[in-house]
Amino acid sequence: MVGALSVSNRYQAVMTSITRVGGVRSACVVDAVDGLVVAEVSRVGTDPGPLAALAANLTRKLDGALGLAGHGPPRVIHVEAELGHLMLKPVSPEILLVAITDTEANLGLLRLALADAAERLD
Amino acid sequence: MRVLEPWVESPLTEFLAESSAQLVLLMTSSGQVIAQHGFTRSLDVMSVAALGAAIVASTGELARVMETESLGHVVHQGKGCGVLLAPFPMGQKTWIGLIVFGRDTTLGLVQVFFHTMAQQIREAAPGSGKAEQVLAEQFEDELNRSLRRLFGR
Repeated sequence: MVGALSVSNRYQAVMTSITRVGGVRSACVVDAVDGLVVAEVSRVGTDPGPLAALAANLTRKLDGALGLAGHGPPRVIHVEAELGHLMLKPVSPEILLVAITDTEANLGLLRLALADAAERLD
Repeated sequence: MRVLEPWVESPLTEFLAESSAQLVLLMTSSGQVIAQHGFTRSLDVMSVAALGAAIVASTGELARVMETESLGHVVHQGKGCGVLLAPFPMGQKTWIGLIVFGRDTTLGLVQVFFHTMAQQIREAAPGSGKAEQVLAEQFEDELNRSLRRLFGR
C-alpha cells in the first residue's frame, strides 16, 4: 500500500504533531482499558509507564464522576499544576491521548492539536 | 492478609490500597509462600504458589531457549479479571508476585504499584535480603510451617 503508514508509525506521527506545540514536554497514546503505553514521544525523558497508568485511572474516575453528574463522558481533562499542565483527551473508550506541558505552553493550540490527533486516530 | 516476614506487611498493605488488587501471593521462585492476601483456603495457596512458580520457571526456560535475557512479567487477561505473574530480584534470589485484579483497576496501575512495592520490600529486607536457603528435603516441612503461619492452623 503506497503511502500508507503502519499502525505504529501512524501513532508516532500523531505524537510528533502534539509535541510540536510549544511547551509540550511529552505526549503519549495510552490503552485506556489496561493503562499501558501504546506510543510516546518525550523531550525530557519522562517515564511513560506510570504516567499512562495514572492518566487512564484518573480518566476512568472522572468519567464515573461525570456520569453521576449526568454530564456524559469527558471530552478533555485539563489539570493545572504548579510547574505545568496535564491534558488528557479520550479518543474512544480504549484510547486516550496524554500531553504534559510546562507553564508556558500554548494551551489553546494544544487543545486543537489534541482534537486533530483524536480525529486522526479514531 | 497473612505474612511470614513482618517487614513485607507495610509495602504489601500500601500496594493493596493503591492497586485495588483482589488477591496477592508473594512467594520465592521455589513456591515457598512469603505473604498472601485474599485467599481463604490453604489448598488454594498451595496450588496457586506451585502453579505460579512453575509458570515463571517455564517462561524463564523459554527465554533461555530463545537466547533472550528474560521474558519479564506474565499477564493473563480474562474477561472479568486479570492475573499478573511478576518475578523480581530479591538479593541473590528471585521472588514472585502473583496478583489477581478486577475491572476496577488496570494492568498498568497494578504494574506501576507492584514495581514500587518490590522496591520497598528490597529496602525493608534485613541485611542483604538473602533469604534462608530451603533445601529440597526441608521443603515440605518449610511449606507446612509457612501455611500454618499464613492461615493460623
